[in-house]
Amino acid sequence: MNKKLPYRCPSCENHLKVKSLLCDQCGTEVSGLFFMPLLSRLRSEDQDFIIDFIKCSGNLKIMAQNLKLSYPTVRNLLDDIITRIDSIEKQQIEEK
Amino acid sequence: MNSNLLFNPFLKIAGVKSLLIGIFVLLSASALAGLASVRFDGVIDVHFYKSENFLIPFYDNFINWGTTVIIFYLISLFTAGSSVRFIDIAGTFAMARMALIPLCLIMLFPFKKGHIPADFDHIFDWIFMNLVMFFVFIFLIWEVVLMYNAWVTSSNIKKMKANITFIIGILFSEMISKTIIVFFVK
Repeated sequence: MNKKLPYRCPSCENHLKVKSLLCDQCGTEVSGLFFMPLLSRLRSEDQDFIIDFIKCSGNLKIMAQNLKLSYPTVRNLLDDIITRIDSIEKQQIEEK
Repeated sequence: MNSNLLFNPFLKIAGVKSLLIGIFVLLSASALAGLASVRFDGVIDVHFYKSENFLIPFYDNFINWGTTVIIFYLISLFTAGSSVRFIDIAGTFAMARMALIPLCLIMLFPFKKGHIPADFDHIFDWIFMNLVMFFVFIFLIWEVVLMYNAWVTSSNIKKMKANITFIIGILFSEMISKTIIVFFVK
């Protein structure tokens, strides 16, 4: 079963932080308080888009052909992701 | 049929492809309008006309299209968050006029050529005329929806800003196209 990594609190919608990490090889557990990486704080659709974008070498025309969407639609999706990233970065600064 | 394709085909089609389709649409609509003695003397205007000049709807359509493209592109330079391609505005706005094709087909119905007569003989003539006008309004509304979606998709302007810029763009396009047509297209 493919589980999604949650990034927002189901109770108050705030961004989640990482409290512990586990090595499933030797059983070592690392505890602390870590910020989730920026990319993992994006929605899964946005993460998939970014991966596809990199695989297309940043070429929006190729992405549009692959996604069977028009060029301005794909460019608009990218602009929306940039806006969400800016918003997350602002929030990260405020949290620190 | 997917309602998205009907009201926002620009999610899938833009750029050069939409421009080629759009020019075909403009030529087809103009030819049908010439046959029906209909002209588009403004971006969202439709009227019968009395003239033997078959080319008048062609001049009207291309002036209307050109005016909207220039006006909306200029608006996008000042209001869009990212760069807007001229080809997207030109192509999507040309394609948006595809609602004029069924509109012209409706107006091919046998009214007296060039005008709606004031002396209809029978009540059914009035009912028929009103039915035709109802569908004309439906297609005009569809055209406005297509132009709005063309604008939103090409510029990525959203919500209230999209509504306000669209209204301003349509008003200025209507004023300018009407002025050009009244003075230069006879």
